[in-house]
Amino acid sequence: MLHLIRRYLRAKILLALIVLVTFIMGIVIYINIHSQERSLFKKAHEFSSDIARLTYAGIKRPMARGNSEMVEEQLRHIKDSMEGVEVYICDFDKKIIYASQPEAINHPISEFIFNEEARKYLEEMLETGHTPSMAFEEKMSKKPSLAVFLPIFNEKRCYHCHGTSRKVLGGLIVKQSITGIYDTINSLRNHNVLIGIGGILGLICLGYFFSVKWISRPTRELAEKTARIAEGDFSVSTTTDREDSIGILIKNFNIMTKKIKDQIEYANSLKFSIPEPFFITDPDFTITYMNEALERLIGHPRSEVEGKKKCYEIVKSDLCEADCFFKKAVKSGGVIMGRRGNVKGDGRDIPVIISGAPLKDSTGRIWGGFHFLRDISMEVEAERAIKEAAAKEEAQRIYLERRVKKLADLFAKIAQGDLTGRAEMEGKGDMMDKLTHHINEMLDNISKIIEQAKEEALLVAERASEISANNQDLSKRTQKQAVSVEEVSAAIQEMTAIINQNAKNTAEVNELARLAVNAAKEGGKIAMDAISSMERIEKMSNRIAEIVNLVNEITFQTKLLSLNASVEAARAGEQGKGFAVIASEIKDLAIRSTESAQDIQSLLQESTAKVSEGINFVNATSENLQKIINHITKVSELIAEIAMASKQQTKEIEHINETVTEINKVIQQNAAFVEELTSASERLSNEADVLLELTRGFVTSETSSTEVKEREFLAEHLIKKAGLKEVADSPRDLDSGEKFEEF
Amino acid sequence: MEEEKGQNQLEGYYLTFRLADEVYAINAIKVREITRYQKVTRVPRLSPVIKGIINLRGTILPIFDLRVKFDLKTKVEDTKAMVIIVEILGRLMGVLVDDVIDVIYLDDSSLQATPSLSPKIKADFIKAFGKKNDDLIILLDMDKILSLEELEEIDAVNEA
Repeated sequence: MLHLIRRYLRAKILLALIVLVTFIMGIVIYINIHSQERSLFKKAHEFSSDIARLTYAGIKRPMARGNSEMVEEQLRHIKDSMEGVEVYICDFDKKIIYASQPEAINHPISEFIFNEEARKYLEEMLETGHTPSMAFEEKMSKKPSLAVFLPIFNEKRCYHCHGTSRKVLGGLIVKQSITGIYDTINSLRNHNVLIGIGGILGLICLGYFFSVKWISRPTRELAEKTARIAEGDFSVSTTTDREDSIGILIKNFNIMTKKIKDQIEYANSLKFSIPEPFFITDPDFTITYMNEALERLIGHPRSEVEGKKKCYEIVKSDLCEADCFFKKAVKSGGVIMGRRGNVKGDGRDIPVIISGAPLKDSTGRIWGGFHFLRDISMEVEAERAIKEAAAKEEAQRIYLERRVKKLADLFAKIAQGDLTGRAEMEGKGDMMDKLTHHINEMLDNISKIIEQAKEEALLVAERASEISANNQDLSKRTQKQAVSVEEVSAAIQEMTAIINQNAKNTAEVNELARLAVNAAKEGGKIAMDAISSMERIEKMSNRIAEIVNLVNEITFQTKLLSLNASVEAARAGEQGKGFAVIASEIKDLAIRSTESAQDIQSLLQESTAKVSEGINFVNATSENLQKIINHITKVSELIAEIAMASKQQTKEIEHINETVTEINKVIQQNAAFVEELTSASERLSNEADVLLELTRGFVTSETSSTEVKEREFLAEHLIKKAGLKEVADSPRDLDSGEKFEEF
Repeated sequence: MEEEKGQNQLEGYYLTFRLADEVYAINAIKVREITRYQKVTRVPRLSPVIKGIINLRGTILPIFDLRVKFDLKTKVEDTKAMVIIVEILGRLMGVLVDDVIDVIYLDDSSLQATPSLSPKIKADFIKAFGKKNDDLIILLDMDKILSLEELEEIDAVNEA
């Protein structure tokens, strides 16, 4: 039962309906029955009260007159005419005086009233005349009945018999059977219950029908459809015009299904749109999918491979053995980028680049691998072609380099003036051979031009020497004039020399002063070094003093220990004697160490004193050196003044020189003519020399070089001859011919 | 030599020390230890003979200054000074001296009893005079060196 409720939604709804409807209908039925009962009892009560009042009205008169028979008659009449009604009249002693049942007369009323509460109220009523407002349930010959009490008051007309002492004379009690009422109540209850059960069943059926129609059935349908989607069937769809939450659920389900379909379609279109070959494996490396490109590449139809072959049977790569991304991905989830490998195509290995990535589900579990291949056979081919081209280029380069180097060697020779060499032809007929041919031609032409130039230069040199010889005569006349000016000039030169000597001497003195200052500075520096050395000595001395103090401390402690040892030895008496000797030895040692330490200390103090004395000396020296520097600086200033005076002297000499220059001008004007001639002829001669020199550098052929030498010799001979003649013709007193030329 | 009497026991080991320019000696048997002078803790309102107390490895010892006792000029505190821990009438106490010289053996031939000085001078703490290498050594009787009041004071310090 519980299992059913847990499993089926409709069972749950049914259970809820049963509980709810039963509860509500039960309450309604109960309230209904209760109110009916109460109204019936109320009616019975009213009826009984009416009987009591009527009876009382009927017997009042006869009783007032004292007509007992009339009363009895009346009561008998009631008994006869009204079935199920009993009337009792009792006095204030609760004794029955009259009764519809004559056998009850003279019995106490308590024998006929069984309800305790009713008895209490009766007593109260007989005492006070207070009428109870309610009816009491009673028994009448074992059947249910209702009792109503009414007091009989002591009225004026009763005084004649009963007097005025009592307020209440007695009571009227009416008991009425209510068996009919109970029957009615029972039949009403039965009716109510029957109608109620019918209503409950009807409501449950109605509620169940609608709940199944609106809730249970659509949810079951939805559940079935979602189950189909979970199995991978995305063709399901459902329609609804409902707008409640189930309707929204169904619409959302439709949207969800569509989105999932879109995603799958997107993934599929991605898969189909990749033009490069690729395949997908499951975690056992079995290929689950491969595309057409791969099919074309390996030449096996897809049906032979998918689900049958492992990836390493198709692809051969070092990647598979050493570094399978798939194994790696299980550890780290990494991706492999471009590794070279080979694919077994139909009969040959195709070079490829392999990339891959693990495929994961939403929980991150790896369910497969995506392997991407790129055919690089074209690239490999291109690589090979480029390598070949490069090798060819290299060979060409080496050949050109060799040829150009040969030409470069030839040009190096030419640069040194050797024009005899010629470039070598290789008979290849290429641009290099053509270039070589033109170079050789050019060299032939240049050789010819140079040879001609050499001959021309020789001729010019011969003419120039002739002109030179003619100029000698003119020179002689001007020389004589120059002699006197020369003497003056010599005197001035002497004076200049003396002044120069003076300047040189002052400069020397200045240099000496500078050296002295340097020496003094050096001395100062040495003094500073000495001071720092002494300071270091002082520091060392302090350190030694510290050590000596330490030694002192140790010896003091030693002495203390030895004394203690001695005391102990003395206290030991005879046995301590040997020990006493040792202790005394130690003490002596300690004392000696102390003395030595003191010696060191005094020596140190002495040395410290000496060092500070030394520092004082060095300081004094340093001051003296400073003084020396000051003095030398003064000397230097004085020398500067002397130098100034020398400058003034030089100026004076310049004045004199100007005068001499004016005299010289006259001579120069005379000499100018000769000068011009001489310089013209010299220039000519020089230029010829230059030309000769230039052409001499070039060796045009083996035979021509000796010929040139002969010609050169001839030219030099001509020049020499002209020079000798000049020396021979110059007068004996003119001892400085060269000077004149300079002048 | 004629005054030796019962003083034969004078012969024995003596600890010699220097105070001012004099050399004194005390019986080495009485000496417990020689220690370096350390800072004493002055106890207020004691007689100037008692310099104060020191803590020698956990034992509190009174120190008395022989210079004060002998009316010599007190020295500025000297790190070279020494303290002789000595037993006087059953008490241990320190005696501050300038320098401890040696433990020597003095036999009867090098000892001379105290010459009778003027009775005014209270010098019963000088036991005898000794000679060693021409030096004169004053032998002190440590048991008699302190007056009764001073001993009481020391006891008071010790008890405290």
